[in-house]
Amino acid sequence: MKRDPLKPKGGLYYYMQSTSGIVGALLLLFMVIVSICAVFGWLPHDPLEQNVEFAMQGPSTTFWFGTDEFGRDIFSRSLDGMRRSLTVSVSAVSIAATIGVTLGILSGYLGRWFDQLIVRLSDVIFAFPAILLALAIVSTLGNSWYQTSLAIAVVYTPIFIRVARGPVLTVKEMDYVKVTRILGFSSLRILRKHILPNVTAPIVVQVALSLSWAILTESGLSFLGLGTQPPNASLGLMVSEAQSIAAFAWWALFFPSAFITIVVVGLNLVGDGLRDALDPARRSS
Amino acid sequence: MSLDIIDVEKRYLNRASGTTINALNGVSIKVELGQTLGIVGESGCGKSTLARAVVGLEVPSAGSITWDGAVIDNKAKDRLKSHHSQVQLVFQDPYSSLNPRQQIENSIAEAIEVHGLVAKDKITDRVTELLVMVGLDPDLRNRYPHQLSGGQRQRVCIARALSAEPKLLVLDEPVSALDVSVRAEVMNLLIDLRKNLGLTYIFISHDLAMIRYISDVIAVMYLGKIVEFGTWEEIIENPVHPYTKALIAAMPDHSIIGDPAMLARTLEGEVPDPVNLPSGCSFHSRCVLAVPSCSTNAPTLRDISNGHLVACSEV
Repeated sequence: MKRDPLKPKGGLYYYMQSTSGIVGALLLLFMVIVSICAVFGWLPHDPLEQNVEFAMQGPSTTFWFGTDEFGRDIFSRSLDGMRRSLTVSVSAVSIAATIGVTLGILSGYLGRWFDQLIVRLSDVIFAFPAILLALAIVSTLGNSWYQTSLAIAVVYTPIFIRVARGPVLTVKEMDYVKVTRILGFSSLRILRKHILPNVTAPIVVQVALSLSWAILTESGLSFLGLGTQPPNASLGLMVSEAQSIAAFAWWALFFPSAFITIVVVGLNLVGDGLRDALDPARRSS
Repeated sequence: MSLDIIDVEKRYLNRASGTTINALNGVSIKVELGQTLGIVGESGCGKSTLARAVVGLEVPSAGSITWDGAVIDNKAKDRLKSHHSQVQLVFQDPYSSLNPRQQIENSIAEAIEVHGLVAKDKITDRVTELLVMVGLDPDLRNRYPHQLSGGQRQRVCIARALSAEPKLLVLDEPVSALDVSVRAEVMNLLIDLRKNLGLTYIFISHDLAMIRYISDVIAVMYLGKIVEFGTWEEIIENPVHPYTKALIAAMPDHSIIGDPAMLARTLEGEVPDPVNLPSGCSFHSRCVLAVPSCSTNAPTLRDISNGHLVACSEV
């Protein structure tokens, strides 16, 4: 058989073609390394250790990102905070995406009363302001990291239901889906092979966006005293704590904020890269 | 073996407005194995609804559609393995009828795989065979649909339909979306396949030139009813129903063009609203032969010579 110059290559090949994908992947790698350092405690200082003697010091060779008003090392706290923020947001979005996408696809595909039920239920959740609902759930369940994740997951599930359901309504009316019915395929096969692959693009983008929003929601909850509890660090909590001293110690606000920015930008770039790599028509060949 | 369409009606209820759209109003046709039935009519005459009903995508509101005596039912399990489900459809638009995320090979192989039509290790060979059969280079197997032209895609759609080893192929305007230059190629391919595989076709089109090219018998549809039916020679050379005459007069390449008598019969106005069907003969509002009784008495199909059927009281 002759070699076809247009023969498609593996997904990774197409991912590496996109500049934003590569930059995003590098930022994501950075975040993962940072989190691993925090998990194993490979930090220059104990993130909880207070040392009033060194309070409010600017960045130096000893304290790379400076210290806060209790003399805690902001570099170590940022790394530890990154780990905590990522843990909460990744687990929350995983739960929300799994449940939301499943319900959304089934709801769009099955239609009728099931669709009505799911749409009404998500409307009910949508009716509450996100942070208020998360707050209500956390104050009922408690505020350990998995309970915070669960609260954020509940708030984000309806978003995934909507993002998955909309395209399914369009795709299931396409001729290539009707053909599968004439060919006598099972619903499970039609959903898995013909509908799901054609609705992934908006879902992937939504996952990337939701991860960054979840970090901000976790920050909000921590700020209100319901997420991560002092003296532990999360990126959001560090930013809110730094507000009072930002006028004298810019570094206390700047470094955790920069970390949040890196996470959010990195995730969005990865989302872009994945969207392009997953869509055969967008691949530049 | 034959396809029997008996008194099929299809109505769509619009819940919002409480109105009913009458897409098919009593259609009866018999198609014998190996025959090609051409169905011609304007947009909205129910051609595509009939096609969808024949493959089981629509359930008729009344009447029955049977293949070899068995009802065609979309919900029947294992329908592909059972004899009555050897009916496949090729859609009009080759751009929306291929999964954009699926390579050509997988599109064609899927039905073979799911229904175990050939041994696992023979699937690749079978796909090659099907690609060659529809005139495509087997090296295209790893392409995605967006890398193919409209004509190539339509050939893939035909190959996919053939992968299920059908006896009856419903072709719903299979060349209308293609460039004029590739229409003839695809038409010739269809004719070759019919001969080589012994297929039965239902060929649906609004273009009488295409219908004449491929059909043994032709049914002319108007507002969900058959108004004239006969062999292609009878319908093209000796049309009787005023609607058929008007359609033939509208053919740009026909020899009668320029004949003032025929041109005078060209249709005016729009197809009436299928929500409020005209009383009597549904064509009377546009008919040159209409007399007052046409608006009250609905004509039925009657045989005027050797199976040439026409639904008109004035001819």
